[in-house]
Amino acid sequence: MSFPEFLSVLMLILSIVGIMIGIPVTFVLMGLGFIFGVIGIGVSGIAFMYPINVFGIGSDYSFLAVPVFIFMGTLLVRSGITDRLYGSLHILMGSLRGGLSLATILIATLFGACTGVIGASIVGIGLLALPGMLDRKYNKPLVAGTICGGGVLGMIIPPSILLIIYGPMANLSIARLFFASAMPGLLLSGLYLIYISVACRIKPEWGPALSREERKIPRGKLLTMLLTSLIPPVFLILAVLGAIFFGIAAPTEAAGTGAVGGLILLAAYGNFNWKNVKGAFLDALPSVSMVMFVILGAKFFTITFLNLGGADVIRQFLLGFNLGPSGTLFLMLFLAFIMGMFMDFIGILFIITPIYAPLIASLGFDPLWFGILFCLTLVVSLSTPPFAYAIFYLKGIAPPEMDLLDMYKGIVPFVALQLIMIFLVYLFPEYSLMASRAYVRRITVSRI
Amino acid sequence: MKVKGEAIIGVIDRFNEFVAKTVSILILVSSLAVCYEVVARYVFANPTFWSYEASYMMSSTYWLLGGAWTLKIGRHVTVDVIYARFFSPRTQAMVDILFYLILYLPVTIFVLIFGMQYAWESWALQELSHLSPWHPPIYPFKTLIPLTFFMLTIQGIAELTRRIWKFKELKGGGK
Repeated sequence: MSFPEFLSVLMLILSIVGIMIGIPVTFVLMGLGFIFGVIGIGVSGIAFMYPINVFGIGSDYSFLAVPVFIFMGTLLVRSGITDRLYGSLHILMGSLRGGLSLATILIATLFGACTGVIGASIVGIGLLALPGMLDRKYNKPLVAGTICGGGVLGMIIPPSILLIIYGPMANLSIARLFFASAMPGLLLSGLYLIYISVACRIKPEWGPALSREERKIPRGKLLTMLLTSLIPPVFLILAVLGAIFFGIAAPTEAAGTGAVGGLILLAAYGNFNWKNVKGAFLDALPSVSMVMFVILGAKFFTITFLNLGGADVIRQFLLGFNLGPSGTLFLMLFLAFIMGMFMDFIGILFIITPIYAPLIASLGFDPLWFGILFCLTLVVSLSTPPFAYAIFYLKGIAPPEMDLLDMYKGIVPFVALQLIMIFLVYLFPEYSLMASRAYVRRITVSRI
Repeated sequence: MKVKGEAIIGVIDRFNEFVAKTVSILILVSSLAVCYEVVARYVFANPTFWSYEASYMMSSTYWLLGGAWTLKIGRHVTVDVIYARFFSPRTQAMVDILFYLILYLPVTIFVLIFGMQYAWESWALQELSHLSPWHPPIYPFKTLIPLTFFMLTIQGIAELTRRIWKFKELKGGGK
């Protein structure tokens, strides 16, 4: 190993150490990129790299979808739609065992799509669903698993921030990635629902059904509640994804249209006032800034890392085992999984994608299919101890009587389902690529 | 000395917060601009020439100038399992001090200096953007880069000073 390559490995190790001791991820990456850049490349070599790259990221039209989608999410929260929807699903599914958990997963499937930022979706869903489930004496591990498992759905179900960032980096169309990930995302949500139903059937005390009095509400009223709270957001989300699917709008444009849809919903629910609109763009600011700055930090880091030959080190490491295509694929996912336990997913995308993308092509795999496997793997790594981001976010909002052990216990079945999902996508590539192929056919036809 | 320092830090905090909150409306305008493009194209069959550049400029201003405030309110993502659980308040302050001195300030000052030169060259040329047929002036947008890193640098100095005071205080208290 040459000296620069040694530096690149050192850099990677130090970044993990820095992140582990609690330094903001973006500045660990930025700072190390700079220090090692000065040592390995020299001041004149990196001087203008930074402003040029800030400009590049700032003017990138695909990345523009990130702030706008997050803004759409905060608008939807401000409209009060999530509370209403949860309230009506709560009563509707109350007669079922584990009904609240089921309702939570359904909400997460719908709205995870809107927030896209892992922390935001877990905190959002947690604040919404946690008190109700704990009040009704739901099994604590099940509650924790439901919220963490549901929260990560937002990373796979479009429009996911992860895919918006991954697409341009791997030279894949974001729209195609969206449709390739939709099926596995929905199937995973389905697996969660089945698991919760079965678990609560075997152990009724895990998720007691609502008493008859609590459910006593005229059927007509329930129907109106459900229609007014379910249809508008579903329509909005389908409109956003539909616009992308039918080639009417690029993902960024669909995001803009979605944000305006969010404003309309705000008005429709009578919450359209300056306080809420202002609240929505102020709520979005730290989330957007955080995500975009991690992109920036990761870019600063990878400039140096790749320049020092870090890509070769990882490539040689992966190919050195001589495992053949499938074995190497597995090893690549495993490495992503390990890194996912320590590092923010955006950081990993930036470090790993430039290395993996050419490798995948040379191994002869479908890059789209690999993209989905890769993203699912990062999802699993978010929920796996000892460093499970998903659990840390939940811990931040959970009452003290719910301890870490409950959370770790609860997340196990959900992680198992995520692993099953990865395996299914691996075994049946056709299934996950179906929607994406349909999209490509449609676009081709419309161009002719 | 500390009183004067506190006043300066207060000014930095308020300045960065004020800028962030002021520009935060741009995400709304930017979303409207993006949406208008779709409407203009499909409903009026007359796509705009300005939407693309106007919208990325506005939303990038939003998150770039919001970065320093995000730091102040502690919203840049961290993994604080070890930090919050195993470090005493004094160790936490020490970790933060080392972080600002070694990792943070060198890079923000570096980008500030070269960002200024980068923006300056753009001003000198009265450079126009070539990303779309609109060709708007690009130097105001490029000026955001040194401005962002200026805000980050002063916020970093403010945070560093606060940590040093905290560290001294904890030492004095014997804990």
